Amino acid sequence: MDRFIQTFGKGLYVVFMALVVVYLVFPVLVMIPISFNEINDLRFPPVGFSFRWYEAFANDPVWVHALFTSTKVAFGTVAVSATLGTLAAMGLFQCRSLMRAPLQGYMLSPIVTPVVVLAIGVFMVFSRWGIAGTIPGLIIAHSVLAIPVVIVAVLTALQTMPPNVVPAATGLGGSRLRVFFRIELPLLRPGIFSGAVFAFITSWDEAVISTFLTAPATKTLPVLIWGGVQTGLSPIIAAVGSIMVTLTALAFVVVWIFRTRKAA
Amino acid sequence: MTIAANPETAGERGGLLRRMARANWLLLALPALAFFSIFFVYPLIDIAMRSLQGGVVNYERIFGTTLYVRVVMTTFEMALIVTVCCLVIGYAYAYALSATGGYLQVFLTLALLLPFWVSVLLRTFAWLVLLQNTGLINQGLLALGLIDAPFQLVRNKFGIAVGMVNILLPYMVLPILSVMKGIDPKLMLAARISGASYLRCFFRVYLPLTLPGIISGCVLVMTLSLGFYIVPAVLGGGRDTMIAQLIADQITRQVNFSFSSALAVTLMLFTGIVFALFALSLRLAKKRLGG
Amino acid sequence: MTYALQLEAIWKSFGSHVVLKDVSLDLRKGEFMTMLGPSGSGKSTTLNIIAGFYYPDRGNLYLHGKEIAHVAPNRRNIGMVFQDYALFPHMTILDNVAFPLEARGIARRARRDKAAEMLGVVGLAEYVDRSPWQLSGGQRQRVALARALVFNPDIVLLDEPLGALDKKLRTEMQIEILRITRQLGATVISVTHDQEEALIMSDRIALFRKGELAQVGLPRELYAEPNSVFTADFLGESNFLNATLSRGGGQAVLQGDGWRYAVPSDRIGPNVADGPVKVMLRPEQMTRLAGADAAADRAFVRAVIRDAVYLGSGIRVFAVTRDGTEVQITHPVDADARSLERGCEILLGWKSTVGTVLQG
Repeated sequence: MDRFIQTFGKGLYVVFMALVVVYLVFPVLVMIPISFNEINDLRFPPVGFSFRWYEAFANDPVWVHALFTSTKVAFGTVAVSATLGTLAAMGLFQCRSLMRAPLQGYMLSPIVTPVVVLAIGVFMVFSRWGIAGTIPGLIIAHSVLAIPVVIVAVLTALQTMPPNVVPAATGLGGSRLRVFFRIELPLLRPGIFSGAVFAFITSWDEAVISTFLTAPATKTLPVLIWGGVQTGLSPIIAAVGSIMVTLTALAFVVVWIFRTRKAA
Repeated sequence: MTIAANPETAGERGGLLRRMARANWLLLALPALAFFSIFFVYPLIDIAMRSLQGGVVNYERIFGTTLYVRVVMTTFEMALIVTVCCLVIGYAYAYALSATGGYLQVFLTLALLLPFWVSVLLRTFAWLVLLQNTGLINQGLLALGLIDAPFQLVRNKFGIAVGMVNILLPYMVLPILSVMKGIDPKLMLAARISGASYLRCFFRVYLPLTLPGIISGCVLVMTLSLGFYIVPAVLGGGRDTMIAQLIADQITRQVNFSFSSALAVTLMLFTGIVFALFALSLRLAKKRLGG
Repeated sequence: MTYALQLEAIWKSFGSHVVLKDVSLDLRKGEFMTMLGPSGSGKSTTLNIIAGFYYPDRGNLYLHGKEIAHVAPNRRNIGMVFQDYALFPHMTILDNVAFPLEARGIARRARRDKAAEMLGVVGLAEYVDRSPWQLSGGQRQRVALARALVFNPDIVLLDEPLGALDKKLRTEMQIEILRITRQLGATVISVTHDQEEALIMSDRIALFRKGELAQVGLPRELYAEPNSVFTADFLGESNFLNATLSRGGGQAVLQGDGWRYAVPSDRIGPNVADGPVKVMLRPEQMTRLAGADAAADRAFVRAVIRDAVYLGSGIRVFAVTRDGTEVQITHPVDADARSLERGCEILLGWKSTVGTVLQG
């Protein structure tokens, strides 16, 4: 009886886990087959097979413009957040005072701040400053969300760095600046790289702040998708979504390989 | 600090360099600190100021209007439902991750983290497609003859819960997993040979030991779900409005900046209270474990 | 008689790796047995099979005559002390010790009284309300012992119980564990790789080698009458001299490199065949001879000193015989000790009545 319950329970657990995996992965993957529908409907399983929605996307100047805007903003965000985030992480790591925990909490707090609150705050302030609706405005707002992501990635890398490298190099007569560029930066490259990739994804996917902050000329892909979801479901969204999912998966795989190769 | 960590250098060059080294970290963190002060903290302060335009009238309006009180209640209700669902599913998932190895573990990790990095908006969109009356789930159930008419799976609390749990699950799994990984497996053997059945083993030993992870996970999920915007907006119905939607609506539709700001402050306040309560209980739980 | 525990031809493999081959072992009630052996010899696997954490592939396991090879660990009534004690960190000391009673459905009041009593036996009466992390290593060990004994188990298993303690504390706890288990009349199986610990604590020792039992017996049997080079080598220091054995007419002749003597053949184990053998001698059984002492009843071998180390109580001399065998003896600290220089040739002698002949 004991063993029966045990086996039965185990079976039930395995089935439950399988369902959870499906629940997690399915909505992400379902986008791709849907995008190949021949008909103007989000049918799954798809009806026929065609690239017509990808063509429609490529031929629509509004979508293409949004693609470029998204890319520009994402790269800008990477530049700002990777620089500031890396420096801040190194500063936090070196800090041994009691200030460290509260400072770290402060710099990571955008992660737990409700995005809507941040969005309306930034919207009201940026409107006054005249940078709402501009690409630099978007880059700045996205960086607020992306810097903590970079900090976490770089801090993780710092914690796994051999602890005596920097003191040793400084002791051998390297100037502080030299040590930074020749020793620390190369050692931290994997951490900074994954931080940068995650910052890119953060900006690339950001929808809430962007809907408040974009003007018609600076709409990003998520803003267009958001509008599309609210007005009517077009398979173009599935096509755009598939491209974004594929890109994200690629970025993730690159980081994964980068990390495991470093560990090996 | 790195320089001072080398006693020889610090000793030779004396106090000035040591002081400089000590202040080094501040210099590195300064750009980010300044950036956050201007573009993160200042907007929040601006919200707080605006919410108080004309005194506390905005807050009186929030807590004096049945409609808005109901929105607050709905927000908490959804946060609670989502947290409980995440806990049940996430605990089981974290256990699976901690108990397996090899390719299965890699697979489970990927299944958890890959969707994590796909945009919330796209996943919500996918759920809308799947859950609507003509969506896969209803069509499947109809085809199997299990139901006669499509179930209403979306534009209600069920739809919101499905979407939010899907997005928030990793925030529950990861803290629980990190605690589970630190539990000495011999404790389970010790409980077993002491005469405990599997159930007693779980409820008297394993569950209490994972409590810190459970609390951390619940804090994250609860505080994050209070501020959810996209999911309830897309998958929820008109009667299931949550605070975040109200905040956005007040700006985009009503153009009422000060009332929206007051709602935002209220949301932040609630988030802070929930966070503080959980942090307190986490401290108590850890104290019992001697951490 | 019924034994407290019987292992009958136990086999166990993990994948293609056979870890236990046909292990049989009996344990009398009240006996303290140590399972000794190098790591990977199968002693821990045997312990886990007795505990019920693994089930054997083949063979039987009897606890007081009852077959339990496939019974779940929580239904075996066996107590166990783990290597790092495995105390429950979220419970007080008292709750830790009361846990086995709780699992047996004993009322709260009764189990707390019994646990407190057991904590008194192990000398921790005033620590009941502490948490495990507030105790020292030795105190945790006592708690673990109390938890393993509180429910009057049929046997108690100790898994490297002293491994985590420092040397001084270890000796103290060896005596303590013996006192407590004797006082309660417990039957104990202990696993260790520390031969000294095994010699001090055990009524009997079961020596494992590559998944098989090499020898089972009293500590002094294993030390003085090893049945194999492995046993002799594992317990204490030993020298192995090469020799050739030939039996005939109630006499056994041992022919070595430059030495030869005869002993009654009943002094040589029946499992040793004529031909090349090893003569095992403990360092204290060999002495340095002056040339004149090389008498007929004494066997002796020539060796060249390689090293001499001062140990306080004596001098440990390492030397090599002409056929390349390394030997060591304990030399008293006296006037002769000065001549123990590297490269010197010495005569090492032993009485023909000592020395164990083993299959080479």
